[in-house]
Amino acid sequence: MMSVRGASARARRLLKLYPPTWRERYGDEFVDFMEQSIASDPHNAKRTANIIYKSGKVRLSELGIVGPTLNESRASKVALGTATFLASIFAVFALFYWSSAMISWNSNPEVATGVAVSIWMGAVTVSTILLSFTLLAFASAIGICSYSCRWYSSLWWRLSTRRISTRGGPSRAAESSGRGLARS
Amino acid sequence: VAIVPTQSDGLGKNPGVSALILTSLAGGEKHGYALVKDVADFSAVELQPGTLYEALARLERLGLIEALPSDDRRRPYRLTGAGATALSEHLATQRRVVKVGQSRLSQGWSFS
Repeated sequence: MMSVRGASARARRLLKLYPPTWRERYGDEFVDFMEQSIASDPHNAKRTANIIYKSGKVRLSELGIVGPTLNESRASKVALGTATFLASIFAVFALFYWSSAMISWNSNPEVATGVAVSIWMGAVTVSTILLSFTLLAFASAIGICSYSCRWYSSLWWRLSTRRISTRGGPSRAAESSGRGLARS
Repeated sequence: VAIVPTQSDGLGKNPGVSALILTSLAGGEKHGYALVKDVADFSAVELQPGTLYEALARLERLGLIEALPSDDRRRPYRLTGAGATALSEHLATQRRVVKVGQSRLSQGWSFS
């Protein structure tokens, strides 16, 4: 049987796998849960693997890469920031390889005279520019979509609520207050 | 990119886990560990912590459950009216599947 102190330390170590916003919201109850879980079953590899996998997913969603973020008010900003960051990394690497190729091409007179090499370098230059513009357009699309999708979703939400209420089912207000289905 | 959940989302992703949690909370408010124990008792499914908190966050976001204020670390969760409606619809679908499955099995299969 593991001591309470040991279980608490392990629970807090596992909590650190999650991002700060998640820890702020679920941290205390997660530690409490884990302390009880570890006390009853100290060594459970399946449990640890599950936490590693799910915390990784939460971290990716907090970066705006997969799924919704915990704090939806900053989701658009995060998604746009991540897309811009990835686009910047690509631009830096693309520019590095392109400039290296150009320098080696220009500094070697024997290679520079080949027509095939000139065509190939031209193709590299054009494709690098095209890829950079594509990525820039992708980042912009994410930015625009993050706002327009919110607008579309809120419109759909209003329309679906109206449709449901005219069908004779419980209204959203009634559902959320629990009046639609009364507990006995 | 965050999409505001719509009514058509139902129980969201992984409806099996969501249905287990909602069924447990239909019996009364519970905190995380009590919820896992209850689910294990009535379904023999052992919910892992990462899966549980992922599902709780999703269900809370969809408005199907709500976290209640608590003075200590254990925060209880409660089923909302929308959650009860969603669970009821999900169970009705499951009942139809069970009925069709049993009917087809009884017609074409025999078990000794």
